[in-house]
Amino acid sequence: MAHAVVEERPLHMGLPISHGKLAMWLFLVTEIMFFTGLIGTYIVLRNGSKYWATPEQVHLIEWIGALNTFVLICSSLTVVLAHSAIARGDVKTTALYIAITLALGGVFLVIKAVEYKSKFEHKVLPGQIRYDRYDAEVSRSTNPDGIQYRRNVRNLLAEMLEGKEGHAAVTGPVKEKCQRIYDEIKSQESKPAGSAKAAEEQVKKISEEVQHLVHEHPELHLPYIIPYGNMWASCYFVMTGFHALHVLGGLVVFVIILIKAGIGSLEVQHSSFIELTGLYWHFVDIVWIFLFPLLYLV
Amino acid sequence: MAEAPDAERHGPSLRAYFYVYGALAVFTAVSFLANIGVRHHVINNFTSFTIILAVAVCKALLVAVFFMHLLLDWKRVYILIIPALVLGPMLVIVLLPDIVMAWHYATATMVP
Repeated sequence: MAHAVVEERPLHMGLPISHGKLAMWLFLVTEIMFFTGLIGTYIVLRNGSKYWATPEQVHLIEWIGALNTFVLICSSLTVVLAHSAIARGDVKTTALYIAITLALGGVFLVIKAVEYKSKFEHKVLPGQIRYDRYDAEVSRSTNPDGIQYRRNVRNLLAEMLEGKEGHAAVTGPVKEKCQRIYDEIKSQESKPAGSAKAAEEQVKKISEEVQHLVHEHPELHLPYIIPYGNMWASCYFVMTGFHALHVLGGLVVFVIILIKAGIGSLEVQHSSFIELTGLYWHFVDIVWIFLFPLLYLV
Repeated sequence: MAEAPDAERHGPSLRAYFYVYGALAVFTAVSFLANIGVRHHVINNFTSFTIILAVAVCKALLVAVFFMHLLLDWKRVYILIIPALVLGPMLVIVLLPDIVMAWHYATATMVP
Protein backbone atom coordinates (compact mmCIF):
# COMPACT_ATOMS: atom_id res chain seq x y z
CA MET A 1 0.00 0.00 0.00
CA ALA A 2 1.39 3.30 -1.05
CA HIS A 3 1.76 6.02 1.51
CA ALA A 4 1.32 9.64 0.65
CA VAL A 5 4.55 11.47 1.30
CA VAL A 6 3.95 14.64 3.27
CA GLU A 7 6.85 16.99 3.05
CA GLU A 8 7.21 19.00 6.21
CA ARG A 9 8.17 22.59 5.70
CA PRO A 10 11.37 23.39 7.58
CA LEU A 11 10.83 25.39 10.73
CA HIS A 12 12.04 28.93 10.49
CA MET A 13 12.51 31.22 13.44
CA GLY A 14 11.67 34.91 13.21
CA LEU A 15 10.19 37.02 10.46
CA PRO A 16 10.51 35.73 6.90
CA ILE A 17 12.64 38.64 5.70
CA SER A 18 16.37 39.20 5.37
CA HIS A 19 18.37 40.45 8.34
CA GLY A 20 19.08 43.71 6.57
CA LYS A 21 15.44 44.48 5.87
CA LEU A 22 14.44 43.47 9.40
CA ALA A 23 17.08 45.81 10.84
CA MET A 24 15.97 48.64 8.57
CA TRP A 25 12.29 48.23 9.49
CA LEU A 26 13.17 48.10 13.19
CA PHE A 27 15.14 51.32 12.73
CA LEU A 28 12.25 52.91 10.82
CA VAL A 29 9.85 51.93 13.62
CA THR A 30 12.02 53.82 16.13
CA GLU A 31 12.03 56.72 13.67
CA ILE A 32 8.22 56.63 13.48
CA MET A 33 8.13 57.00 17.27
CA PHE A 34 10.74 59.79 17.17
CA PHE A 35 8.93 61.92 14.61
CA THR A 36 5.51 61.12 16.08
CA GLY A 37 6.83 62.55 19.35
CA LEU A 38 7.90 65.77 17.61
CA ILE A 39 4.79 66.12 15.45
CA GLY A 40 2.52 65.13 18.35
CA THR A 41 4.12 67.75 20.59
CA TYR A 42 3.54 70.36 17.89
CA ILE A 43 -0.13 69.36 17.53
CA VAL A 44 -0.69 69.45 21.30
CA LEU A 45 1.11 72.79 21.77
CA ARG A 46 -0.67 74.37 18.85
CA ASN A 47 -4.15 73.26 19.90
CA GLY A 48 -3.39 74.02 23.53
CA SER A 49 -2.41 77.61 22.75
CA LYS A 50 -4.91 80.40 22.60
CA TYR A 51 -3.48 81.83 19.40
CA TRP A 52 -0.87 80.62 16.93
CA ALA A 53 1.45 82.28 14.44
CA THR A 54 0.23 82.42 10.82
CA PRO A 55 2.62 81.61 7.90
CA GLU A 56 2.74 85.33 6.92
CA GLN A 57 3.74 86.40 10.42
CA VAL A 58 6.69 84.01 10.48
CA HIS A 59 7.70 84.59 6.84
CA LEU A 60 6.79 81.11 5.61
CA ILE A 61 5.99 80.92 1.92
CA GLU A 62 3.59 78.10 1.03
CA TRP A 63 4.72 77.57 -2.55
CA ILE A 64 8.32 77.09 -1.39
CA GLY A 65 7.14 74.31 0.95
CA ALA A 66 5.09 72.79 -1.89
CA LEU A 67 8.14 72.97 -4.18
CA ASN A 68 10.23 71.13 -1.59
CA THR A 69 7.50 68.49 -1.33
CA PHE A 70 7.61 68.02 -5.09
CA VAL A 71 11.42 67.77 -5.03
CA LEU A 72 11.27 64.97 -2.45
CA ILE A 73 8.54 63.16 -4.43
CA CYS A 74 10.78 63.28 -7.52
CA SER A 75 13.69 61.91 -5.49
CA SER A 76 11.50 59.06 -4.21
CA LEU A 77 10.74 58.12 -7.81
CA THR A 78 14.40 58.15 -8.83
CA VAL A 79 15.34 55.90 -5.88
CA VAL A 80 12.83 53.22 -6.90
CA LEU A 81 14.03 53.53 -10.49
CA ALA A 82 17.62 53.05 -9.26
CA HIS A 83 16.57 49.91 -7.37
CA SER A 84 14.78 48.63 -10.43
CA ALA A 85 17.89 49.28 -12.57
CA ILE A 86 20.31 47.52 -10.21
CA ALA A 87 17.96 44.51 -10.06
CA ARG A 88 18.36 44.31 -13.86
CA GLY A 89 22.14 44.55 -13.44
CA ASP A 90 22.27 47.96 -15.13
CA VAL A 91 24.90 49.68 -12.96
CA LYS A 92 25.30 52.73 -15.19
CA THR A 93 21.60 53.62 -15.06
CA THR A 94 21.56 52.92 -11.32
CA ALA A 95 24.39 55.40 -10.77
CA LEU A 96 22.58 57.96 -12.93
CA TYR A 97 19.36 57.69 -10.90
CA ILE A 98 21.27 57.81 -7.61
CA ALA A 99 23.12 60.93 -8.82
CA ILE A 100 19.77 62.56 -9.70
CA THR A 101 18.44 61.62 -6.24
CA LEU A 102 21.53 63.13 -4.64
CA ALA A 103 21.03 66.34 -6.63
CA LEU A 104 17.35 66.52 -5.66
CA GLY A 105 18.20 65.99 -1.99
CA GLY A 106 20.75 68.81 -2.35
CA VAL A 107 18.08 71.07 -3.88
CA PHE A 108 15.80 70.31 -0.92
CA LEU A 109 18.51 71.33 1.56
CA VAL A 110 19.38 74.49 -0.39
CA ILE A 111 15.71 75.57 -0.37
CA LYS A 112 15.57 74.80 3.35
CA ALA A 113 18.72 76.88 3.91
CA VAL A 114 17.12 79.82 2.06
CA GLU A 115 14.08 79.52 4.35
CA TYR A 116 16.30 79.39 7.45
CA LYS A 117 18.17 82.49 6.24
CA SER A 118 14.87 84.35 6.01
CA LYS A 119 14.04 83.33 9.61
CA PHE A 120 17.43 84.58 10.82
CA GLU A 121 17.05 87.87 8.92
CA HIS A 122 13.63 88.53 10.44
CA LYS A 123 14.74 87.21 13.84
CA VAL A 124 12.00 84.59 13.86
CA LEU A 125 14.08 82.48 16.23
CA PRO A 126 13.35 80.72 19.52
CA GLY A 127 13.46 83.27 22.34
CA GLN A 128 14.20 86.16 19.97
CA ILE A 129 10.65 87.33 19.29
CA ARG A 130 10.07 90.31 21.56
CA TYR A 131 6.27 90.39 21.38
CA ASP A 132 4.54 87.04 21.22
CA ARG A 133 1.44 87.55 23.40
CA TYR A 134 -1.68 89.73 23.09
CA ASP A 135 -2.00 89.72 26.91
CA ALA A 136 -3.29 93.12 27.99
CA GLU A 137 -5.10 92.56 31.28
CA VAL A 138 -3.59 95.19 33.59
CA SER A 139 -5.16 93.77 36.75
CA ARG A 140 -3.21 90.52 36.47
CA SER A 141 0.17 91.94 35.61
CA THR A 142 1.61 95.39 36.00
CA ASN A 143 3.20 95.33 32.59
CA PRO A 144 1.60 92.76 30.26
CA ASP A 145 3.16 92.07 26.87
CA GLY A 146 0.29 93.57 24.88
CA ILE A 147 0.32 96.86 26.81
CA GLN A 148 4.10 97.18 26.40
CA TYR A 149 3.73 96.47 22.69
CA ARG A 150 1.02 99.07 22.19
CA ARG A 151 3.05 101.69 24.07
CA ASN A 152 6.15 100.92 22.02
CA VAL A 153 4.26 101.20 18.70
CA ARG A 154 2.65 104.46 19.84
CA ASN A 155 6.08 105.96 20.63
CA LEU A 156 7.57 104.76 17.34
CA LEU A 157 4.64 106.14 15.36
CA ALA A 158 4.89 109.48 17.18
CA GLU A 159 8.58 109.74 16.26
CA MET A 160 7.83 108.82 12.63
CA LEU A 161 5.01 111.37 12.37
CA GLU A 162 7.27 114.03 13.84
CA GLY A 163 9.91 113.11 11.24
CA LYS A 164 12.59 112.26 13.79
CA GLU A 165 15.94 110.95 12.56
CA GLY A 166 16.45 107.20 12.35
CA HIS A 167 12.99 106.51 10.95
CA ALA A 168 11.79 106.18 7.37
CA ALA A 169 10.21 109.40 6.13
CA VAL A 170 6.43 109.07 6.07
CA THR A 171 4.40 111.24 3.74
CA GLY A 172 1.05 111.25 1.94
CA PRO A 173 -1.13 108.15 2.30
CA VAL A 174 1.49 106.31 4.40
CA LYS A 175 1.48 109.15 6.89
CA GLU A 176 -2.32 109.02 6.98
CA LYS A 177 -2.23 105.29 7.75
CA CYS A 178 0.36 105.81 10.51
CA GLN A 179 -1.74 108.64 11.95
CA ARG A 180 -4.86 106.45 11.92
CA ILE A 181 -3.13 103.67 13.90
CA TYR A 182 -1.64 106.25 16.28
CA ASP A 183 -5.09 107.75 16.90
CA GLU A 184 -6.55 104.28 17.44
CA ILE A 185 -3.91 103.54 20.09
CA LYS A 186 -4.54 106.86 21.85
CA SER A 187 -8.27 106.13 21.80
CA GLN A 188 -7.73 102.64 23.26
CA GLU A 189 -5.45 104.00 25.97
CA SER A 190 -7.96 106.66 26.98
CA LYS A 191 -10.79 104.10 27.36
CA PRO A 192 -9.45 100.87 28.93
CA ALA A 193 -11.30 97.72 27.84
CA GLY A 194 -13.85 96.25 30.21
CA SER A 195 -12.55 92.69 30.16
CA ALA A 196 -9.35 90.76 29.58
CA LYS A 197 -10.71 89.38 26.32
CA ALA A 198 -11.71 92.83 25.07
CA ALA A 199 -8.27 94.19 26.00
CA GLU A 200 -6.60 91.37 24.04
CA GLU A 201 -8.84 92.06 21.06
CA GLN A 202 -7.80 95.72 21.12
CA VAL A 203 -4.10 94.86 21.08
CA LYS A 204 -4.68 92.20 18.42
CA LYS A 205 -6.40 94.78 16.21
CA ILE A 206 -3.47 97.21 16.51
CA SER A 207 -0.95 94.44 15.80
CA GLU A 208 -2.87 93.29 12.71
CA GLU A 209 -3.10 96.83 11.38
CA VAL A 210 0.64 97.31 11.91
CA GLN A 211 1.35 93.97 10.21
CA HIS A 212 -0.77 95.03 7.23
CA LEU A 213 1.05 98.37 7.08
CA VAL A 214 4.51 96.77 7.27
CA HIS A 215 3.49 94.26 4.61
CA GLU A 216 2.58 97.14 2.27
CA HIS A 217 5.55 99.31 3.29
CA PRO A 218 8.48 97.12 4.40
CA GLU A 219 10.65 100.23 4.87
CA LEU A 220 8.66 101.03 8.03
CA HIS A 221 10.39 99.23 10.88
CA LEU A 222 7.42 98.67 13.13
CA PRO A 223 7.03 95.52 15.23
CA TYR A 224 3.93 93.35 15.24
CA ILE A 225 2.95 90.59 17.59
CA ILE A 226 3.63 87.03 16.46
CA PRO A 227 1.31 85.10 18.78
CA TYR A 228 3.21 82.25 20.43
CA GLY A 229 6.00 82.98 17.97
CA ASN A 230 8.81 81.75 20.21
CA MET A 231 7.07 78.42 20.69
CA TRP A 232 6.36 78.22 16.96
CA ALA A 233 10.03 78.91 16.17
CA SER A 234 11.19 76.20 18.60
CA CYS A 235 8.82 73.65 17.04
CA TYR A 236 9.72 74.70 13.49
CA PHE A 237 13.47 74.49 13.94
CA VAL A 238 13.38 71.20 15.88
CA MET A 239 11.06 69.44 13.42
CA THR A 240 12.54 70.74 10.18
CA GLY A 241 16.08 70.61 11.60
CA PHE A 242 15.87 66.91 12.50
CA HIS A 243 14.21 66.21 9.17
CA ALA A 244 17.00 68.04 7.33
CA LEU A 245 19.59 66.01 9.28
CA HIS A 246 17.87 62.84 8.08
CA VAL A 247 17.99 64.15 4.50
CA LEU A 248 21.70 64.84 4.98
CA GLY A 249 22.22 61.28 6.27
CA GLY A 250 20.53 59.92 3.14
CA LEU A 251 22.75 62.05 0.92
CA VAL A 252 25.87 60.61 2.60
CA VAL A 253 24.69 57.08 1.71
CA PHE A 254 24.00 58.17 -1.89
CA VAL A 255 27.54 59.54 -2.12
CA ILE A 256 28.88 56.18 -0.87
CA ILE A 257 26.84 54.36 -3.55
CA LEU A 258 28.17 56.72 -6.23
CA ILE A 259 31.76 56.17 -5.05
CA LYS A 260 31.19 52.42 -5.26
CA ALA A 261 29.82 52.86 -8.79
CA GLY A 262 32.79 55.09 -9.65
CA ILE A 263 35.40 52.53 -8.60
CA GLY A 264 33.47 49.72 -10.29
CA SER A 265 32.47 47.83 -7.15
CA LEU A 266 28.71 48.40 -7.49
CA GLU A 267 27.16 45.17 -8.67
CA VAL A 268 23.84 43.43 -8.89
CA GLN A 269 24.31 41.91 -5.40
CA HIS A 270 24.04 45.46 -4.01
CA SER A 271 20.36 45.47 -4.96
CA SER A 272 19.39 44.83 -1.34
CA PHE A 273 21.60 47.70 -0.12
CA ILE A 274 19.94 50.11 -2.55
CA GLU A 275 16.49 48.83 -1.60
CA LEU A 276 17.21 49.45 2.10
CA THR A 277 18.57 52.94 1.35
CA GLY A 278 15.39 53.55 -0.62
CA LEU A 279 13.25 52.44 2.34
CA TYR A 280 14.99 55.02 4.51
CA TRP A 281 14.65 57.73 1.87
CA HIS A 282 10.94 57.07 1.37
CA PHE A 283 10.44 57.32 5.12
CA VAL A 284 12.13 60.73 5.08
CA ASP A 285 9.71 61.67 2.27
CA ILE A 286 6.70 60.49 4.34
CA VAL A 287 7.81 62.63 7.30
CA TRP A 288 7.92 65.69 5.04
CA ILE A 289 4.49 64.79 3.62
CA PHE A 290 3.12 65.44 7.14
CA LEU A 291 5.43 68.35 8.09
CA PHE A 292 4.53 70.38 4.99
CA PRO A 293 0.77 70.71 5.65
CA LEU A 294 1.22 71.03 9.42
CA LEU A 295 3.69 73.92 9.19
CA TYR A 296 2.70 75.65 5.96
CA LEU A 297 -0.96 74.98 5.32
CA VAL A 298 -3.24 73.96 8.19
CA MET B 1 18.50 33.08 13.48
CA ALA B 2 19.28 31.79 10.05
CA GLU B 3 19.28 34.21 7.16
CA ALA B 4 15.90 34.06 5.49
CA PRO B 5 16.33 35.16 1.92
CA ASP B 6 13.50 37.16 0.43
CA ALA B 7 11.25 35.22 -1.84
CA GLU B 8 11.73 35.79 -5.54
CA ARG B 9 9.46 38.70 -6.44
CA HIS B 10 9.31 41.47 -8.91
CA GLY B 11 7.59 44.33 -7.09
CA PRO B 12 5.41 46.95 -8.76
CA SER B 13 6.09 47.64 -12.42
CA LEU B 14 7.86 50.78 -13.62
CA ARG B 15 4.54 51.99 -14.98
CA ALA B 16 3.01 51.67 -11.49
CA TYR B 17 5.85 53.78 -10.07
CA PHE B 18 5.15 56.54 -12.59
CA TYR B 19 1.41 56.44 -11.88
CA VAL B 20 2.13 56.77 -8.15
CA TYR B 21 4.52 59.65 -8.85
CA GLY B 22 1.82 61.42 -10.88
CA ALA B 23 -0.75 60.87 -8.15
CA LEU B 24 1.63 62.27 -5.51
CA ALA B 25 2.25 65.40 -7.59
CA VAL B 26 -1.50 65.89 -8.14
CA PHE B 27 -2.21 65.37 -4.42
CA THR B 28 0.40 68.00 -3.51
CA ALA B 29 -1.28 70.46 -5.87
CA VAL B 30 -4.70 69.62 -4.35
CA SER B 31 -3.55 70.41 -0.79
CA PHE B 32 -1.91 73.64 -2.00
CA LEU B 33 -5.12 74.66 -3.83
CA ALA B 34 -7.24 73.81 -0.77
CA ASN B 35 -5.09 76.22 1.21
CA ILE B 36 -5.55 78.94 -1.42
CA GLY B 37 -9.31 78.20 -1.38
CA VAL B 38 -9.62 78.84 2.33
CA ARG B 39 -7.64 82.09 2.06
CA HIS B 40 -10.02 83.38 -0.60
CA HIS B 41 -13.04 82.14 1.39
CA VAL B 42 -14.04 79.67 -1.34
CA ILE B 43 -14.08 76.84 1.23
CA ASN B 44 -14.18 76.97 5.02
CA ASN B 45 -11.40 76.07 7.44
CA PHE B 46 -12.85 72.69 8.36
CA THR B 47 -13.23 71.59 4.72
CA SER B 48 -9.70 72.74 3.93
CA PHE B 49 -8.30 70.95 6.99
CA THR B 50 -10.15 67.74 6.08
CA ILE B 51 -8.92 67.84 2.47
CA ILE B 52 -5.31 68.58 3.45
CA LEU B 53 -5.24 65.85 6.12
CA ALA B 54 -6.87 63.28 3.81
CA VAL B 55 -4.40 64.15 1.05
CA ALA B 56 -1.43 63.77 3.41
CA VAL B 57 -2.64 60.34 4.56
CA CYS B 58 -3.25 59.23 0.94
CA LYS B 59 0.22 60.41 -0.11
CA ALA B 60 1.89 58.61 2.81
CA LEU B 61 -0.05 55.42 1.99
CA LEU B 62 0.94 55.57 -1.68
CA VAL B 63 4.62 55.98 -0.81
CA ALA B 64 4.50 53.20 1.81
CA VAL B 65 2.48 50.72 -0.27
CA PHE B 66 4.22 51.13 -3.63
CA PHE B 67 7.62 52.75 -3.12
CA MET B 68 8.39 50.98 0.17
CA HIS B 69 6.97 47.73 -1.21
CA LEU B 70 4.52 47.19 1.64
CA LEU B 71 2.19 45.80 -0.99
CA LEU B 72 4.45 42.75 -0.90
CA ASP B 73 6.09 43.01 2.52
CA TRP B 74 3.12 43.97 4.70
CA LYS B 75 2.52 40.36 5.83
CA ARG B 76 6.18 40.13 6.83
CA VAL B 77 6.56 43.39 8.76
CA TYR B 78 3.11 44.39 10.02
CA ILE B 79 4.04 43.02 13.45
CA LEU B 80 6.69 45.77 13.67
CA ILE B 81 4.69 48.61 12.17
CA ILE B 82 1.29 48.29 13.86
CA PRO B 83 2.51 48.84 17.47
CA ALA B 84 4.31 52.04 16.42
CA LEU B 85 1.25 53.28 14.53
CA VAL B 86 -0.91 52.63 17.60
CA LEU B 87 1.50 54.06 20.19
CA GLY B 88 2.25 57.22 18.18
CA PRO B 89 -1.29 58.62 18.10
CA MET B 90 -1.82 57.44 21.71
CA LEU B 91 1.04 59.69 22.77
CA VAL B 92 -0.93 62.66 21.44
CA ILE B 93 -4.33 61.46 22.65
CA VAL B 94 -3.23 61.02 26.29
CA LEU B 95 -2.01 64.63 26.39
CA LEU B 96 -5.20 66.10 24.91
CA PRO B 97 -7.43 66.14 28.04
CA ASP B 98 -5.02 68.13 30.20
CA ILE B 99 -3.39 70.39 27.65
CA VAL B 100 -5.95 70.99 24.91
CA MET B 101 -9.46 70.13 26.08
CA ALA B 102 -9.07 71.61 29.59
CA TRP B 103 -7.95 74.92 28.13
CA HIS B 104 -10.89 75.11 25.73
CA TYR B 105 -13.25 74.14 28.56
CA ALA B 106 -11.79 76.83 30.82
CA THR B 107 -12.20 79.45 28.08
CA ALA B 108 -15.77 78.43 27.36
CA THR B 109 -16.77 78.63 31.02
CA MET B 110 -14.70 81.71 31.90
CA VAL B 111 -16.65 84.63 33.34
CA PRO B 112 -15.95 87.67 31.15
